[in-house]
Amino acid sequence: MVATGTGALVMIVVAAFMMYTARSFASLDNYLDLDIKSRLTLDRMSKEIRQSDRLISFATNELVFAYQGTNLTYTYDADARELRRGFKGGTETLLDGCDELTFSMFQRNPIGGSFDQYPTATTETAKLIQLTWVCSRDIMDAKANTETVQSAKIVIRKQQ
Amino acid sequence: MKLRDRQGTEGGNVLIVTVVITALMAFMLTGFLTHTTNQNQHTIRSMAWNHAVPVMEAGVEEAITHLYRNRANGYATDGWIPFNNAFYKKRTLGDSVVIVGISNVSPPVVYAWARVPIPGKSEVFARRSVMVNTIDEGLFARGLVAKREIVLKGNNVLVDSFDSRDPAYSTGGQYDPAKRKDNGHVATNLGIISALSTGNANIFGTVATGPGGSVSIGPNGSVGDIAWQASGAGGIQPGKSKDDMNVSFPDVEPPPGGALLPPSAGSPVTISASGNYTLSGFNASFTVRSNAHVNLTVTSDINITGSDRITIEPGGSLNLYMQGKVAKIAGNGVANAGGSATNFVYWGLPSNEELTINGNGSLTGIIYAPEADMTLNGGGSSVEDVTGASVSGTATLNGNFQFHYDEMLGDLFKDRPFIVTAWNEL
Repeated sequence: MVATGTGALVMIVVAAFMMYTARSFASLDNYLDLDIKSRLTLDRMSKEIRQSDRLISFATNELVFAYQGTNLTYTYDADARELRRGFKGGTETLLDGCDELTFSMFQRNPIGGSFDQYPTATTETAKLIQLTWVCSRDIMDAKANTETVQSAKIVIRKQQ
Repeated sequence: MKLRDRQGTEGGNVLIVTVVITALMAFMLTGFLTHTTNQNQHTIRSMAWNHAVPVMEAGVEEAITHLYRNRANGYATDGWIPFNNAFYKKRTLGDSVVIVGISNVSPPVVYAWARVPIPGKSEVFARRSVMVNTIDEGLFARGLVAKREIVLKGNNVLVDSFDSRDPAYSTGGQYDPAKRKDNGHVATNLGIISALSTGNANIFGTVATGPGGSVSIGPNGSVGDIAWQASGAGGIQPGKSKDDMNVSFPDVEPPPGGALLPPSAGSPVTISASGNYTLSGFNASFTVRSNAHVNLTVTSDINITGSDRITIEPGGSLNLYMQGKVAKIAGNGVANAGGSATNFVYWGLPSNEELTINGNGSLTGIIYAPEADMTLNGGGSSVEDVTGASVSGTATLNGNFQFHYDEMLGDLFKDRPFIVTAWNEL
């Protein structure tokens, strides 16, 4: 009787441990996935935007650049919660599980006495793109992990 | 005995369960640590990868500065090493290294290779490289430019362009209204409301202010291309106004002083031989004879009035370096008989704060006085033609002026920092 009780207690403790460990693992895995995808996306987008020729069209959820003689498009689909990259007729998903994603555009010149740049309303004078996104993952249908990439500003290096 | 046997079996079971649980925990812990390690390595590698970008850019900046500062002296200076029609330099920035190369073509191409150590790993590096194309833009890439306000007043003010090299856009190298072009760009670095006031001028080209600036245009003013102007449309043609003007204006440095001329107080000065000259007290006529190429440094104010004038005879040229504070050129103005704007260049040094030209006829020349408040006053009811290009501190055009920018000047006077036209990461 005592052995059964003790065994049951041990099993409950082990089960609880396992459950929390599994949850922790899932959480860690989510963080890892978010972190890797965000970093890779940011590295890739910053590299491509840096060397693009110019911004062709702008919306807060879509950017179109002149890049390597053709158009390069980044589109955020709020319904699918995905950021997609379109280039040379192909489309690939860069980010998924994005709750928010916003593009902003600015001139290159900084405003005196600040680290901000002059905003612009036209693509002709846009030389700096700001990316902001919030992505998340679920654990058992509960929003458990969130990662935000803030103030990723990328300057188009081509000056003329 | 049976009791002892049962106890032995149970002890074995407990041991097995303990081993299994311990192994499971060890497996989980290993997995946890592996995940954490991978994430850490990924983060560190990404940081190093991104750290390589500013290192690479530092190399590009150094190369572009080197190109700008040593274009006249050759690039094999300041530690740059010539190699196969190129020049390179190695820089150590902390524990990072950047090697920069300049390909000796025109315009130059810059290469930068950056190497950044990945923390925690011995002899493992993140490497990035870039190829940067440049262009050498001249001081007069636009027609009428100022650091601060531009005000166009008066009647019949017009700004357009032509190309004295191209017979399709000029006649005998001179401006021809029937062959005008629409690159008469007017621009200021100033970024305030009404930084550029065009009044009722017709500008065949574009207007630009600094960031946040705006253009004030009169009811009969018009800015646009030739078709826009021909249509009689007023206002600014879509796409012909920007607020991203941000250009550096290098200071003027005077040439070697040269021979000191006697003060020209009431006495006309005539120069027949090419060379460098210095003049103090410039208030009478000044003539440059045919085929004489003169660099004149003026160390005092200039005040030309009455029937006096600056005359440049055909084949001659005058580079006037103004060190004095105020220059007033009235009288009969500047007679540039050769007809090319390059024959008369007014260089205002940083000490030159004011330049006033009271026109009496046409003015063909180039003005570069980035600290001076420039005023062009037209004379009478007839239209005055200003042909060439102008860069000044402020610019005010009064009277019946027509400003014709010679696009040929955009390819001369390459004295600005190089501009990046393409950035290709390799």
